[in-house]
Amino acid sequence: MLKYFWFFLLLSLCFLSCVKDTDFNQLDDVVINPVVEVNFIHFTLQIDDFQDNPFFEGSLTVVDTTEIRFLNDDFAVDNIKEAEFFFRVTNSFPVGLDANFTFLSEDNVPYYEINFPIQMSEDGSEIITEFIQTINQTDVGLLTQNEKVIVTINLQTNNQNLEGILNLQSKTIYYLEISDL
Amino acid sequence: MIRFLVISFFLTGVLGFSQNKQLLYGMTEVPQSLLVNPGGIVPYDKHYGIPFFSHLHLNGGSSGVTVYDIFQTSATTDINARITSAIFSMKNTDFFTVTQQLEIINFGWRNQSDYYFSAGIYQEFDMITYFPRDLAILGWEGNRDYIDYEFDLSELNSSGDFLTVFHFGANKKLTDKLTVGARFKLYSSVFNFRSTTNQGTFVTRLSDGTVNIYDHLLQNADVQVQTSGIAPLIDNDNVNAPGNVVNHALGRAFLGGNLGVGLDVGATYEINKNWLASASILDFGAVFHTKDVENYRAHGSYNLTGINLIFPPLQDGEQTFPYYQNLEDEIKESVPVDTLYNSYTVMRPLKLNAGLQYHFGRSFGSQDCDCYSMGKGDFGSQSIGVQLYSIFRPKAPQYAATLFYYRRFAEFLAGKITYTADNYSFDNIGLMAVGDFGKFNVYMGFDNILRYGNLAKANSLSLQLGFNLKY
Repeated sequence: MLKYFWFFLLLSLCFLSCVKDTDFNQLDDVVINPVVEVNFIHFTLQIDDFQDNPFFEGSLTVVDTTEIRFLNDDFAVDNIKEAEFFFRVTNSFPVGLDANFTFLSEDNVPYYEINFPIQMSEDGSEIITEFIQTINQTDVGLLTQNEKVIVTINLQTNNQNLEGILNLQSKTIYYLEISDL
Repeated sequence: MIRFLVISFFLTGVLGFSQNKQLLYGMTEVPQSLLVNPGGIVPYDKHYGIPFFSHLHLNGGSSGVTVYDIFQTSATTDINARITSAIFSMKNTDFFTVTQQLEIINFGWRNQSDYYFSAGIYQEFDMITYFPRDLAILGWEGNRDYIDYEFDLSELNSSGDFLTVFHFGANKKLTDKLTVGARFKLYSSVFNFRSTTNQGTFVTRLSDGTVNIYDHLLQNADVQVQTSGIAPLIDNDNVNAPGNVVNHALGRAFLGGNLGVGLDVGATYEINKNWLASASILDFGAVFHTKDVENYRAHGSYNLTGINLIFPPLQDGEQTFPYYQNLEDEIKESVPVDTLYNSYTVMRPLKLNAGLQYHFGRSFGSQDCDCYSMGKGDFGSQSIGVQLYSIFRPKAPQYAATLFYYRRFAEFLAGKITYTADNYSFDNIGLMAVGDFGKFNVYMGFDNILRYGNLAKANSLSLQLGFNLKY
């Protein structure tokens, strides 16, 4: 009988081997939470860039638009759980300014908006304004319906001989939650 | 699909083994040992493998993580914490391998000049993927906590081969002590992919403040994937007609695709009545991929600074610049993705084996025992020894060292137990049994038997199984 021990042992291994103390259904619990920081919009403006504001007499304005197509694609809609916009504005205009970012859907419906004031420079030196807009889980659905943004900067003066420079830099932090594996 | 891939990825740790065949090496009772050392001792005059059942070898492994490490049922940690731990504990030299061989036919015969010829056909799938640690961290955690950290694109390193091997070998005992052999191989590739020479980095740095908050820098990127035989398989017309895929694959498997040649050589030297040394070199060759080749290459450098608005003066109804489209075009221009059709050559993964064994113990029957021929000859019925193995992989060779004990229990039954230390683990115990029931030869071997109580805890496992007729 000993002669057959080897074969019996190997056959036993075949039938007795197993995978235990594991649960592959845990794959349902896998959640990937990367936090991605990426540059957003940047620009520099001088007084020549501004025009009379047709809606508010006594102020100057500039407006521009860009697409941000990835914002409403399926991946973004499904996985962005929170977002945060960070703006840093360096201003040497000796007047107050307002910044407005209006996010529009494909059908030009404005679903989300960011507004903040920009500090004026008292003496022509560069004054830095930083602004953070946090978009929580409730509102992020509004953000991800959009695919373009209109940027408007209003200068609270109609003096087109004003001297100064405005530089805006920005980034977005996307908090992703990828769970549908 | 992603779920399937994830489970399959981790299951390679259960179903996989290395290409090392330490159980089969030197087992002269098994005709397939000639595929591991064509210069092995051949104590029979003829053999026929049972078609499709003469040799099955499953092989795969994971050097850095086991299924249990990830999918264990634990009350203290959740799966996300375990994945995080695995990502950070693994190195970029850790790897996942899958190898599978299925012998279709195998036969051999001894001629009047005492040459032993053997020939056959087997199918092989072999794949290795190194763990791209940096990219795994980037995907798992994002870039926020890794400002200034250069994610290394060269960690992308993967290759795979699916091919049929037609082989013919000759073995001859040149002197009382020396046996030599060689095997010519003709490879017929069904498909191949390779991405092993990538380079470049991706880093997010705080900018100097002149443009935007960050510089997202893709630096000197050069990522290439070479494929052959895959494009026709995923061609829409073929995908919609599965029969075409099968016909295409079969055609390529039987010399209709890209071909290659290779050589195995080996020798055995009987130092004295007790000591025996052997060595072999396998798969010294290459496959030349010239048909159905489709390669992809992305290369270049780029600094993503964001969207720079110009605020152009516009009249009513006039459109502004297409900033986003311009940005996409700029990226495509700076880091173009080319589809190329140039042929390429892939060296087969060269394998080296060496062994030294000491024979001892009483003999069987009335004659002196020859353990190689189950009951005839000069050697004792037991042996111990050491075997060394190496395989050349894209990043670096992998090594294994094995201690073994061989015993013949009866004239028809022999066994071998091995202890192997390799890139996967240092506690790999293997068992093999070989039986000769009349002319019917059967062999069966398993690796990593200490893990059979729970395969999920194994970094690698091995199964070798086959049936032959010997005369």
